Amino acid sequence: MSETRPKIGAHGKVFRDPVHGLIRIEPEDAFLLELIDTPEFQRLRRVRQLGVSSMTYPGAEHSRFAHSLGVFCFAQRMLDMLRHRYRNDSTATDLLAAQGPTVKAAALLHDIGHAPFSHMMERAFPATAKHEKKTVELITDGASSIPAILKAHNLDPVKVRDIIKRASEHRLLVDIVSSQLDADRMDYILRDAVATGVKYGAFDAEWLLNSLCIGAEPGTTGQAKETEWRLCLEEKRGLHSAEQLIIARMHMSLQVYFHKTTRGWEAHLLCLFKHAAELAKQNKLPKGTPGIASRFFAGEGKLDHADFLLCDEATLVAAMQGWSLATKPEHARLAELSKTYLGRRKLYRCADVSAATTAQVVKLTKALGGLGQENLDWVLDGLDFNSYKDFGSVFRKPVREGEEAEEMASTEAILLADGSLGGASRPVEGQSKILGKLGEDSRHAVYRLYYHQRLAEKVEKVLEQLKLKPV
Amino acid sequence: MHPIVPLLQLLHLLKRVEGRKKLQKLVHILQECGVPFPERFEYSYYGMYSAQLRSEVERLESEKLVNESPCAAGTNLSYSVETTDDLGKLMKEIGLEEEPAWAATAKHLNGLTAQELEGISTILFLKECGLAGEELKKRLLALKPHLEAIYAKCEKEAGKLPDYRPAAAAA
Repeated sequence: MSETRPKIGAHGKVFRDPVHGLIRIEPEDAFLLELIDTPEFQRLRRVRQLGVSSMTYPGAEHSRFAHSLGVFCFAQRMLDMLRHRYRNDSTATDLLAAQGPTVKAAALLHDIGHAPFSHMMERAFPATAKHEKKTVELITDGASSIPAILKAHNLDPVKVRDIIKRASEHRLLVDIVSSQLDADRMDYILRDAVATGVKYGAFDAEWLLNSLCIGAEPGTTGQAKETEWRLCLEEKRGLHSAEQLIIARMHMSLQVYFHKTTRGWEAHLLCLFKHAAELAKQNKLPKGTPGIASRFFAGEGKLDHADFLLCDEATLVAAMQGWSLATKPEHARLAELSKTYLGRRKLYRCADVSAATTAQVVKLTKALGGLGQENLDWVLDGLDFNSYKDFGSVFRKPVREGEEAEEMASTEAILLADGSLGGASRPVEGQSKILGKLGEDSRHAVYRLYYHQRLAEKVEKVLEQLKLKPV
Repeated sequence: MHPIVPLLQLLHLLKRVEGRKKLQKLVHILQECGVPFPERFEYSYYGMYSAQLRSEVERLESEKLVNESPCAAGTNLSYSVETTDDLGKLMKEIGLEEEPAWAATAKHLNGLTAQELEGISTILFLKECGLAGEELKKRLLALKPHLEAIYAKCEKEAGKLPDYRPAAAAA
């Protein structure tokens, strides 16, 4: 637990925020301030929300810290809205009152396991592949200061963990933090749009919040139990705001998250970090490399708790600054990659091969293997690189009668309900012409090949041989 | 190796998988065993699910490397995934005809029912959440009461799964 408890006034604590205006922590939620003051949470100030997106959108320097506060704010407003809506039904208000602090803690802490450069680092090493895994560890592991704070306020870290892992038996609570309609994506779409200056991310969040209701899991027969409650939108009011949210997310994915230049810089860093790890494992990183960076790469992202708290983007950029000046021949590639990254000079060319078939892509990978090392000389950014929230998963074909239950329909679809507590719900795409049309062809496959400019001639010849015309 | 190769190898090896759900669980379990399937899974009402995998199979079907055809799955209609000659030709062309090291496990798992695989997959997920023993069983049955009758078998199957991760990573 923190050494001194942060003070909170009678009116609570407010944070100014570009998305929410004011984010308020009420006096009864003082424990959240203690969580915010932990080194685990403060570290998020030094991890940017969009990794290397600022190479493309200079304003995208916002942190996971600000985003996490924003997710808490939306989660709190969702809980308040539902409590107000069902104020005459004690089953709902009791559950929301009892579980509210747990949901708020989960919303606040959902991203604390992110490595430097956020989702980019998930592509680099197995130990950093799932930030959720590290998040869960920080919430439940004794080395972290978080579980002690939760327990001191009679909150069970396991219940916080279960909401983040989507393993809670209360699906409604999971939906608030992790679903197509969750506080997380509502905040990141708006925040990323504000920071990048991309206007496509706008949607009517106020109306969406105002339309929230509690429906029943599709297919529930009889009166829904609390564990079968789902977060839904009221059919009469929420349809258009749901459409806006989906379209905003799709446009943000194509314009920002999957931007060719951003993905190119991610590929550049991927090559740099993979190469640094190879050198670190042989104890060959240049002298003067910060100790934490050396241990990070030697362990391929695996660090003890003390190191994790200090490992942020500044640590790795400081390492790159040193590497850019390295003069030994064995460090030539490391120096080249670091120098060009810091100076924003493109080293890798891009060929968009989105039109390629699976057979062509597999053959391409094999041919490239003969030209140079994967994730050093070339990177194929394809099927496995859609970790930036799979917007395609919303649009499933409608379930036909008698067909195997379409699994995503109940878990990933935005649900519409009539607004009564635990009323029947159905996926939004069935009610929306726009989403129904999108659902007919939901796949946005993006295949790009990034290759070192030294290999340009050879790679372009391979592309020609495989009849792959870059688009 | 392209990240889709493990999926191609799996389908080529099994030739036929009875139901989309079964394929989802098969890939998740093999991934948990350390086979390098890159698909991202999330816990859903029906257990571990990867939208990415679903999308990949749709793509393979559109390119005629696999066929999906209706088959019976309990009281529901499901879709089996079957490989085509084109997939066989592709595997030959890229020199991946030999059975992978994890072939026996994949074949064994494909012989289990979709529900049994759902149980095993959920046990692995709950283990990753930090649950064990009675606590794990209690949570699994709270989430999936329909698996009660087969829980013991699922637990036994989950317990004997091999680890295919490289020794260094597993250590």
